[in-house]
Amino acid sequence: MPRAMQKVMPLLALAWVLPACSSDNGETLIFAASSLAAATDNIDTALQAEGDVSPPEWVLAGSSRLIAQVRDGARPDIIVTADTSQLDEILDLGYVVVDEPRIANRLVLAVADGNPAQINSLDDLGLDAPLIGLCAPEVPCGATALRVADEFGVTLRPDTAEPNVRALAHKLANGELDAGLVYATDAASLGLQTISDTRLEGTDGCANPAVTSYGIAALASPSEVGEPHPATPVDRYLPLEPLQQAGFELGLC
Amino acid sequence: MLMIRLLRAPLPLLVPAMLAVALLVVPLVGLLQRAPWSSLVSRLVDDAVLEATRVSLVVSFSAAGLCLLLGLPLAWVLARVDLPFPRLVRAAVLLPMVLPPVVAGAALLFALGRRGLVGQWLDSWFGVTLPFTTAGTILAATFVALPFFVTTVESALVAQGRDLEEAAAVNAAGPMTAFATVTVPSIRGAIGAGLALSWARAFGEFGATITFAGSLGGRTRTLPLQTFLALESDPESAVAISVLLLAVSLGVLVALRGRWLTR
Repeated sequence: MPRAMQKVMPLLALAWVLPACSSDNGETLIFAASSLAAATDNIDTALQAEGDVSPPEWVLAGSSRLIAQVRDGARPDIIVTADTSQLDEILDLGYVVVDEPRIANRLVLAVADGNPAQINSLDDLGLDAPLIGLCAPEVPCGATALRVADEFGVTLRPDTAEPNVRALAHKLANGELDAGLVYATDAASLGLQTISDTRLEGTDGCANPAVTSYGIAALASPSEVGEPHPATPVDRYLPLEPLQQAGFELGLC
Repeated sequence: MLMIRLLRAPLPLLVPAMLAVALLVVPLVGLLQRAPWSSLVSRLVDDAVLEATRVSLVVSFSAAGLCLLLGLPLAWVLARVDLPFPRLVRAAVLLPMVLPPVVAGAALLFALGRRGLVGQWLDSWFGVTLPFTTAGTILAATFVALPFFVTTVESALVAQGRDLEEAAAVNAAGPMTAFATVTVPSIRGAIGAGLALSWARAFGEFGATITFAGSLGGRTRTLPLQTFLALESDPESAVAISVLLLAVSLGVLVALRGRWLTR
C-alpha cells in the first residue's frame, strides 16, 4: 500500500465520523410516547395548513426508552411522555416541564377482530386460555394497566409484556393476541374492536386509574439564565385540536 | 517477543488491525467500568434475572441443537448436490444474516403466527400456537442463527472435496454410512465452530424474539430482553446483566472452542 494512503486513512476515517455528529437539519425534534403515533399525521397536517411552524421530526418510542435516551445524551427540543412522573429525571439536563397543553389518554379493553376469545369484561383478562397482552410495567401503558388491575381487584394473566403500546396494539390488530389494554387513541387509529367495561369509562377524569396524563418538557433556552424558559414554543408544535381528533382527552387534570 | 513481531508487521495492516481491536474492545471496557461491582451479585441473584438466564440458556442451546439437526444436512446438500438455481438457494439460506431481526420477527409472525400463512393451519388442525411461547422463542433464535452454522459447515465441506467421501461410499456400506463415519468426523472442527457461532447468535438474539414471541418472564423473556427492560428502569442492573451475558458467552465460546477446535 502506498505511503500516501497511510496518511490519508485517518482523514478518511474522520470524514466519515464528522457528518454523523452534526446531522442537525434545523427541524424541531420531538421525542414522543408511542401513543402519539395516533396523532402525528393529524398534527403534521394541521401545522402545514396553518403554515406557522413546519412539521417537526418525530421520534416515537416507549416513554421510558425516550427518557433513557435523553439521559444518555439525546437532546430533543420537546419530549412528550405518557405519564408525568418520569420527566423529573431530566430536569437537571436543562429541560423545563411545560404545564400546557394538558392531554390525557385512557386505557380501553381491545380485542382481536371478531372477539374470537369472547372477552366480555376486564375480569376475562385473568383467564388462562385467551392470549392476553399488556405493556411492560416499565412503560406508562403497562404501569397504568397494573394500576387498573390493582384498583378494581382484577387479576391479569398476560402472555406477553410488550415494550411499547404500539407493538401491543399491532399484535391485537393482526389477531395474534386475543385481548389487551391499549390506549383509546391506539384502538381508534388502528380500528381495533373494543369491549366496553364501565369501570374503565368512569367520567371522573384523572381519578380513574385507567386515565394517564401526559407530561411535556422542552429544552430551556440557554439565553434566559436563572428563570428557565422553554426555547421551543411547545403549544405551537402540539396544537390541541388534532390531538383531540385523534382521541386524546383535554383538560382532565 | 510480541513487540518485535508487531513491529515487523507492515504498518498499513497493523494500524487498521489495531483500530479494529480498539473498536471491539473499547465498548466492552466502557461496559465493565460502569458495572456496579460492589452490588453485582445481589443484582444478579434476582428472580427476574435468574428466570431470564434460565430461559436464555434453554433457548440458545435448543436453537444450537436445531441448527445442528437441520443445518448439517442442509450444508451437505448445498455442498454436494447440484441444485437448480444454486445462487438463489444460497442467497435464501443467507438472508436471515442480513435481514434486520425485527423484520425477521415480523416475517415469522406472518408465516407462523396464529393468523399466519402456515400458522393458521397449525392452530386449527393441531391447536399449536407458536407466538408467545418458549418454542416460538427457540424458533426465532434458530431462524437467525441457522445461516451461521450452515455457511461455516458448508465451506468446510466444499474445501474438503468429494473424493474422500466418494471413496468411502464405494468401499463402505453406502453414502449415509460414509457421511456419518467419514465426512462428519473430518469436519468436526467446522461443526464446532458453526455450533459456537450459531449458539452465540441465538444467545444474543433480541429483535426477532420480541417481535415474534413477545416478552414474558420465565417463558419468553431472555437475558437480552431483560437487559433492554432494565436499561429503561434500572440502568445499573442492566449493566450488571450485560456483564453476566458477557461472562456466559465467553465461557461457552471458550468451552466450545476448547472442546471442538483444538487439534
